[in-house]
Amino acid sequence: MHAPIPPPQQMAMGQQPAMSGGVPLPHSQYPFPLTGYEMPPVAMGYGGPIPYGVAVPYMQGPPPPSKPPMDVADHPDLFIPKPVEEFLPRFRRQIRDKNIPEILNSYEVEFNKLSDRWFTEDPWPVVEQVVTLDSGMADDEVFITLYKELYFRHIYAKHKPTIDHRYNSFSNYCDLFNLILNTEEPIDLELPQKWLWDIIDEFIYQFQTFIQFRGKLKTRTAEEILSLKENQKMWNIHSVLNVLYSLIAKSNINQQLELNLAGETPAPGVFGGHSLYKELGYYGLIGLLRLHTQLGDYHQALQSVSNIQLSKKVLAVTRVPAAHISLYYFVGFCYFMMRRYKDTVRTFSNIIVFIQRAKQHFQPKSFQLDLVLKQNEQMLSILAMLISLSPQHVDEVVNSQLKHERYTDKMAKMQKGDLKTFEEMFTFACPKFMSPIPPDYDSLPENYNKEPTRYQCSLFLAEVEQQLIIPTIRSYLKFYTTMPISKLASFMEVDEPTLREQLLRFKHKTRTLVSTTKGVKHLSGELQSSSDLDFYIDGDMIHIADTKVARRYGDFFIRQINKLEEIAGRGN
Amino acid sequence: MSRSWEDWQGVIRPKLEGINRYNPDNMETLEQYAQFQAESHHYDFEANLTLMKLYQFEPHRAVARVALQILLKALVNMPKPDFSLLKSVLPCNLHVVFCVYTPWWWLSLATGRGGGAGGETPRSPGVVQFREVWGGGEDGGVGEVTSHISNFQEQIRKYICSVLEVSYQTVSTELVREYLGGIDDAVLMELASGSGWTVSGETVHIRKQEELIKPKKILAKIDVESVSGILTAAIK
Repeated sequence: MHAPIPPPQQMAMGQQPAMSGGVPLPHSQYPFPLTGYEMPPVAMGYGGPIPYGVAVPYMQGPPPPSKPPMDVADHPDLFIPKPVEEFLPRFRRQIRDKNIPEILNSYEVEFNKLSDRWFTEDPWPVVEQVVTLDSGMADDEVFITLYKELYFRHIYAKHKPTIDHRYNSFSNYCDLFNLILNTEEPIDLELPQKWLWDIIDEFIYQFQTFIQFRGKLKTRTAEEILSLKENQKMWNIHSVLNVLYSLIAKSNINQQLELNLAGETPAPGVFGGHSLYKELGYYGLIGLLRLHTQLGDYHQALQSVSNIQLSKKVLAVTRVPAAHISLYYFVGFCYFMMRRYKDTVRTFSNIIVFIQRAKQHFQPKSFQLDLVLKQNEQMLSILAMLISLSPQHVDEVVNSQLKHERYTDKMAKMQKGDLKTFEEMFTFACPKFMSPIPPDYDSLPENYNKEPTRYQCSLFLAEVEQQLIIPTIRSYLKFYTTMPISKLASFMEVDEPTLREQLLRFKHKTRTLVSTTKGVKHLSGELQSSSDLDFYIDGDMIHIADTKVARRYGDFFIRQINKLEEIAGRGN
Repeated sequence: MSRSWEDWQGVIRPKLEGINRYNPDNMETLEQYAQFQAESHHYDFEANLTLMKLYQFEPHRAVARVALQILLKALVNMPKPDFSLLKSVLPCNLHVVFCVYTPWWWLSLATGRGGGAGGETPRSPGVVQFREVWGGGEDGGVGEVTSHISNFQEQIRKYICSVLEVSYQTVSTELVREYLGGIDDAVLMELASGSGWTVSGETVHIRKQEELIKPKKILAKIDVESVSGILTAAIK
């Protein structure tokens, strides 16, 4: 069932075709493990494939870079504050006892409190120091890996990670995923869902920042550039994809979700039945959605989460709102780029309403809340663009947020066809697009980091340019039920043949897929007109069919009643 | 290469699963498969997207001719969104070459109406570079490109027919001919009978639209979920 082991010359194939600038290929020194291949154990330092049916590739931490991971001299006195000294062994015990509520408290509350109190200037203590705090700590591979995950994450969040931090954090992620994936039985570990999501999210985030780091060659030192050249396997796109695909395969998550949707009892298997694997698999799907979107592959992005149902019910019980907000944001964005405007509106409306309610559960002024609010604004910006291009009915909650002057001015400009405003809004609202390949380290093209976003934006603007005619035609047709072609042509100040083509383009552009599958299988759908206004031409006469939306008194009353209750409740 | 469609499925499917999609060793097979599709009526977007993605990951190995073939094949499969989905994963070294070409432009091209339909002219640098890729002459380039896809014109015509079908109830015969690239009576009659249109003299009857395109009303709906809180509070 496996493809034959590739002969060595095939492994080194990347050496033959060289890019003009002589950039080594990502895999020229790095034949990443792929399913169906058994990597030669000796040469590559890989073990054999995991024997549980399918050979799932797994990660091997790359060898440590030349420098020691942390310069101990950075810590002037090697002093570990008392509360920290007490906290870490306790934290380790909680993890060993699988006490989820306590772990969550230590992870979410205590760790951050201690960070704010003791580690605003410096990173947390290096692991070599930490292991002296408790007997047995040194042998607790799982705890050490998890501690290092937090250690690096703290550096990324509060300090400036150096190139070695970046490499070492990557190695640590490899170690962590290896512990989880490279095993015949599920690892004896349980973690709060929140932490598991953060691991996946942070992993992709650090990948993204690494891509920006290596693309910004102007600010890199000669030493750093040399190191980047030598360490091409660090944060390689294939490794990152490999981690996510392996988590998904190992947890059997897609099959579980599919059976679940079909109303059958899932048969998760040994790993899939373990909550750690199941949840990592689930978040892995969302991670893949994000990664594919950032690479511009909207089809594969939506395909990744095709078994995850977008439903209010799931939202109502989620313990990790951030994961679901991400899910909706990226799904909606993909729809937007596919011109599936009705689906975009539906996806974003649901999550914006959810954020409206969930906001209060976030800690005020926390970075999590900031992030959620930013994503909210990004989605509103997309909706503002969308409605300017293709006016349509949106939920009252969304509509009231769009009435903010931040959007009304811009929408007025966009409706007049101001491409500059579209560009500005798009750049703000889109995810950070990435180039999967390293830059030419010897001659850096300008704006290397900006290029992927610029490209996606140019595709979008080209699309906008073609669609701009639609709102204009619509605005005239809106007032009539029938209208001769010649009359519209004179309104639009074009000749009849041109107008006829524009009308055909209206039809061509507004015919899109609309999902009919209740929040799953996001790619499927049936062809419909995405416009609220439709028409047909009979000879020389345009017949217009408009959509009338009844005033939504119900929503209005519900909101007012709720508000009243709230105020009355506060009074008591 | 004389594999049948079924044979190809057996070869291709395993190459699209999981992480194996990103195995650059698959590139050659996927290129041959794209060629197979170009020469036949078969179409496999999933496989073509995978190939384009491999190009995105290793731009120096991207073959412009194959990339274009894939794009054209996606184009004749409109209104599927495949064309724009492929464009957004184009390898970076082909961005400049292809990015100015929009489906609409190709449509006008395929029907022989020139590049200026609807006032939308591709920027000239794009054209120049594009022809360089093909080494085509002044006018030879375009015809040469589309000839790499079997039945390109027919397929594009089919798409245009489908747009006409949702737009017109009746339309003048002359206009239909023009839209479809100046076709003669015989071709028109064939297309008409295939689409269920009736041609009577100067007019083509496409289909009755009154019942299909009519005003809609969206009524205000309230779901139970949003009033349940209020109702329970009222009962208490």
